[in-house]
Amino acid sequence: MNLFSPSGIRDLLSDVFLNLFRRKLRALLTMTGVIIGSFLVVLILSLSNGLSVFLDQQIRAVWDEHMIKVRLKKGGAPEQMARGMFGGLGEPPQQVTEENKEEIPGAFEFRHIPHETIDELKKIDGVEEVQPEIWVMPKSMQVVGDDRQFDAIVRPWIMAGPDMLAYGGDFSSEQARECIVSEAYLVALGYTQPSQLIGQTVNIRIQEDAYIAMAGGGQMDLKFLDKIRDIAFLMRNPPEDPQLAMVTTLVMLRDLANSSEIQALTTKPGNAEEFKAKVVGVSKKGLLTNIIYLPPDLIAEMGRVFLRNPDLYRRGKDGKFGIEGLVRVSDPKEIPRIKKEIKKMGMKATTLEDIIGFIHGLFGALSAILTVFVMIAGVVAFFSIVNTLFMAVSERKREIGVLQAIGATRGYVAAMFAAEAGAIGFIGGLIGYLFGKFLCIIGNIYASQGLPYVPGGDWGHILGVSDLFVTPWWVLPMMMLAAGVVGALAGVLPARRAAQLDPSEALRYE
Amino acid sequence: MSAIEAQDLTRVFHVGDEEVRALDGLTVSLERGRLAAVIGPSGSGKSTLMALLGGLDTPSSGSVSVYGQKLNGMTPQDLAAYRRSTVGFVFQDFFLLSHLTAIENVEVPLKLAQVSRTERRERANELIELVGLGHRGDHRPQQLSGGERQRVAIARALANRPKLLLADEPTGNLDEKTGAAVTEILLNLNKDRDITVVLVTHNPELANQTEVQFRLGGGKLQSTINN
Repeated sequence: MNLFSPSGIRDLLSDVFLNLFRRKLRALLTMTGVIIGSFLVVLILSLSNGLSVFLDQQIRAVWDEHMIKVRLKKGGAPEQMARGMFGGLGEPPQQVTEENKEEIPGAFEFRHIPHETIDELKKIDGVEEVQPEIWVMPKSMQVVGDDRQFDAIVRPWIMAGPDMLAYGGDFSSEQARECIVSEAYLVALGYTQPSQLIGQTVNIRIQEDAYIAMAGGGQMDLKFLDKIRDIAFLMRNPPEDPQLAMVTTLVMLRDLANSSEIQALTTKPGNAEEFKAKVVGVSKKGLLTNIIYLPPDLIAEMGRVFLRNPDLYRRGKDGKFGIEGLVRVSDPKEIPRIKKEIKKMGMKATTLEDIIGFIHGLFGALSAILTVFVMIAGVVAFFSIVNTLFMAVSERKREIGVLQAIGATRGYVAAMFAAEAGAIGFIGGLIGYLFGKFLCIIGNIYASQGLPYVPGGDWGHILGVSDLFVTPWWVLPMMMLAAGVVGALAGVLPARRAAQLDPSEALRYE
Repeated sequence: MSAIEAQDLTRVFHVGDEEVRALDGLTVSLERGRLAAVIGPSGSGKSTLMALLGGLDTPSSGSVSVYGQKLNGMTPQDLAAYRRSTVGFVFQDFFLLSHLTAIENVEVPLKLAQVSRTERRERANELIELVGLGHRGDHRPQQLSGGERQRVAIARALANRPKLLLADEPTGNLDEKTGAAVTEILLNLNKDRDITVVLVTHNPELANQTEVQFRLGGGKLQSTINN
């Protein structure tokens, strides 16, 4: 008898299902372990994958794969400052040395990337452009002709890149006074079509950052004071010639009045400066729903107002590039090489891979924890199947004897029980999968609408771009296989016991 | 060629420290196509002989061959094939599979012999007709009377066209009337289909209708009576 012929397998399977169906409740109870295990696998894998996909998308919204973020090794590194702040926890006070002085919070200073370094970066083969990293939080944005004002975050378009563009087009030039706004603004503005927004002009109001205002201006004030001090010195030590003294004083006062510092002071705290920009495109909706992307020159202007530093993001004698740079490369495949070259220049380089790798690592750890729980469920399921089948073997002793008497081989009897165990695993796995998948669908519906009964649960709009539960395609086949294998392995011992039954013994009259 | 050839057949069981000789040097032979009865008191070795002839058990010593096939030394696999193709069993307790219908019960041996689905349904229907249960094919054993169950069991035993039919107390659990009907079927099978039939029975009336009676006692053949 060939068990492995198509008809043999079909007959065996029909027997197996018939036998399971005979004792539906018991079969179902035996499957419980498998059902719970596979249900958990689907749910947690889908959630972890969904969150991973979601975060992935969110990061890509502000981090194009063509981009490398660079900064000097020392100065302006937030994580070093954090290390300085928390490094002392539980440790004796650390001595300030040449090596660690940059990490001491009190000695921390921002260092701008020197212009020569920027030039060197631009010379690296494959680098298209280098722009300063700018983060501006406007006071408000408003469509011209519309009374309503909305909050906004302004970011350079180089960070998101063309991939994030949903409708419309790119900027006409680096100097253009244009913008690309998040799709979420369509909802906020009550528009149904992107075309209703594209072509309109928005007014973006920028005012000095509240912390800068509180701190008093930093470097700019020092330079401003230098100029005042020069005039005071002239007053105390005037030239012999009164005419010369008068002219010199007037020239110095004129310079002071024309200086960028005085210009900057015209932006009084609380009074926002307005920037007009024409909407040329609409970007895909992301976690940062209030994002507005700008071309480099416009955002640099806003940045100078926001941080009240007229030299910021400029070239020239007094110009400061900024503490972080955004390097755009022509081919993402070249990133490893370019990153190496940047590091050789004594700089730090972070790529999309680094960030996403970190997040995937985090979810990998989550999956590892999940695996342990699933294994526990698997072990419980395993023993439950073993127990049920041992019971089935002793209950069906007579039946096994009859089958042997009418010609069933030991192999057939063993295969029958092993297949029954495998089927318990397989069906349990399938039920668990369907159950898990069903909850994923419900979860996604709730997530996309927000949770009305949960305080603060109205966050459905955040997930507008992706589902909370995303089941990877390989979960179903992998789980069916794993559940089937757990079942079949659990069936080995009972199947052996069934096969070794002596038919004459099994048929002996009671 | 003899249908059955058993030489010096011995079967010893160990029950605790005790040794029970269920068969003790039994020699018996039967020509093909004959109808024989094995009679004797309880514990005389009748059922053990049936198990050895049917390849359900193996002798402790001695040899047994059926239609030229030597059962000694056969692997469990070969014995299963032998049971499937050469021999059919009918038991006192019928031993039908309770979750299957009459027709499906008859189909089981055919399924084990890998007969195609359509052919086995056809053959099972024929056999159910043969035992006079054409109208009861879709019933499960619980819905059938004792006599009907035994007739289904006979149909199942005939499914793979065996050369030897072994019936262990086939009428033991039946009343006189239904027992007689079952007996008639068995006798007709022997006549019409040229099947060698061996019956184990306590029923002298049934034994008297056979051609040969082997009387066992203490695991030995005590006498052979040709009717």
